[in-house]
This record gives sequence, C-alpha cells and structure tokens, in this order.
Amino acid sequence: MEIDDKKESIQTKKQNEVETIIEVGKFYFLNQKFDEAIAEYRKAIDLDARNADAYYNLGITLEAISDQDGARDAFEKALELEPENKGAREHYDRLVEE
Amino acid sequence: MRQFAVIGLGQFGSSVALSLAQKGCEVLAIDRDQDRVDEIADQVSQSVTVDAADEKALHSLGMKDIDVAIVSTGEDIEASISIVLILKEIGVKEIIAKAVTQIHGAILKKVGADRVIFPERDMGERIAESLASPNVMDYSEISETHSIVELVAPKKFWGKSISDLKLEEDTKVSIAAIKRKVPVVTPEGETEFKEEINIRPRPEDKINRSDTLIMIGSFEGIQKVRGIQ
Repeated sequence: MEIDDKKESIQTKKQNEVETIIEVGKFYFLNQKFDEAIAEYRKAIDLDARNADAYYNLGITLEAISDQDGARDAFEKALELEPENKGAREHYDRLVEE
Repeated sequence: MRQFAVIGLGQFGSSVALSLAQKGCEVLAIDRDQDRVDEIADQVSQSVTVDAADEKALHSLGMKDIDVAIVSTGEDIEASISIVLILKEIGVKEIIAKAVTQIHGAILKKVGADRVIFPERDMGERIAESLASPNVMDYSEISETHSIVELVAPKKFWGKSISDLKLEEDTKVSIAAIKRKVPVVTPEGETEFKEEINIRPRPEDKINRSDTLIMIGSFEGIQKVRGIQ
C-alpha cells in the first residue's frame, strides 16, 4: 500500500512538472519567443511522451513559424494520443489539405 | 452584379463555377454531359445541358448578357475554338479560355479569347517552385518578366525593418504585404495564432520570425531574394 502511494505521488509530481513546463512553453510562445517555446515543449515530451497537449502546443508553434511538415507530425501525434482533440484535428486537416 | 458562364464542367470548369457561386456570383453552368450538369445544378444560379459547340444552341441561351465566359472544354480542342468564336460573335464582353498546348492557346487568342489560361502548366510551375525551395509558399507569374511570390521570412530578415533590408535598392523586389501569425489565447484557454496581414508595409515596419512576405519583382530579383537564407 505504501509503495503504491509512493508511486502515485511520484507520478503526480512528474505530471505537475510536465504541466509547468508546458505553461512555460506557452508563455514563450505568447511572447513570440518561438525557439524557446519549442525547446520547452520538447522537454515536456521527453518527460512524458504520451502528453497530447505538449504535442498540440508544439504543432501550433511550428506552424506559426511555417514549419508545416514538423507541425503536421506534431498534430498527428497529438491525435494519435487524443483522437478527440478538436484543435489538433482542425490544424492537421488544414495542413494535410495544403 | 457580374454574370458568368462556365462552359465545360470537367474538374477545372466545375471548380470555377462552384467557387464563383460560393462568392455570390450569378453563374450559368453549361456542359453537354447531363451527369456533370446534374452534379452542380443545385449550387449555381442556372445550369443547362447543351452542346456549346452548336452555334444555334449557344445563341438560344441569351449569352449576350453574360459579362465573362470561361471556356473550359480544353481537352476538346476543336470544340473550345468553335465556342470562343461563337461567343465572340454573340458579343460576350470577356472570354477566358483554357488551353492545353501553346499552339492551342495561340489559336484561342487569334479567334477572340481575351485571356488564355494553362491551368495544368501553371499548377506544375507552382508546385515545382515550392518543391525547389520549401520556403516558397506560393508563386505566380504576373507577366512575362515579373512574378509574385509568398516567401517565409528568411532568417537574415528577422528583427530588421524593411528600410534596413535595402531590398528595393539591391534587387528591385518590393514587399507588397506581410502576413504574420500572431500568438493568441482562445476563450477556452488554448494557445492559437491568428493571421494578420499588413498591406503595403511602411519602411520602418519590422520583419518577424513568424512572417511570410508577399513580394513582387522581376524573375531575377525574386531569384536573388530566394537565395537569401
């Protein structure tokens, strides 16, 4: 029981850390510091490769700097992890159409 | 409101007819194939199944009130030439015709087409341009010597003002507009970007990392700019 609690606490801590990193990424993005935002989102993905939000935000940032291929791959990954992600779906469909 | 007629509802013709109709224009769509007409009938103002190369049939449609006729029976070369001739006789104000070869295009001009277009050739050129340099988002020739290009802002331009770039002096290429993706937060709290366009930017306007530039210039000038990293 104690081990389970410990595991859960580590998991929650990691989750919080990833969310904080994504928030930092968003801050950079909103300040048009695109390279810094990309570095943060990649850091979040390194910690949690199943985080659809990190991939979505990475996609938005890459698309903003016209890296269409990179953005498409990121949205595709976000959709793979979270098929109902509406934003990722809209961006992905538009990029595929282009 | 200007009235359009689209003659020949293949892939190109039907897409022209539908796009015009979606923009609220009056469109008369014509083809000799009933199925093609049926496919777009409820999306355009009027549609008719008729062989447009038949002079009497075309006269009977009251085409003289049409402002612009688009002849897109390109593959049937003989038919497209006849149709342009008949439309000219009827007195249609502007005739745009689709050609498949240079000679076909030259004949269409001779018999009265005001403008000849080569959609496949033009699309091929555009795709080649964007493949040859991935930072070219769009490209089209506006004359025999000049083109307009949409280019992702090269790294060398970031943070600089248009006057700092000295583009016009060095290459005679001018920046007609800047498209910028501006980061925003949606009401749901998601990050997004919206596209803003700055038409005829001022010399002191600065280029951003997230900009694409719409530039006009000679082929040589544009080529020089595309070489800038």
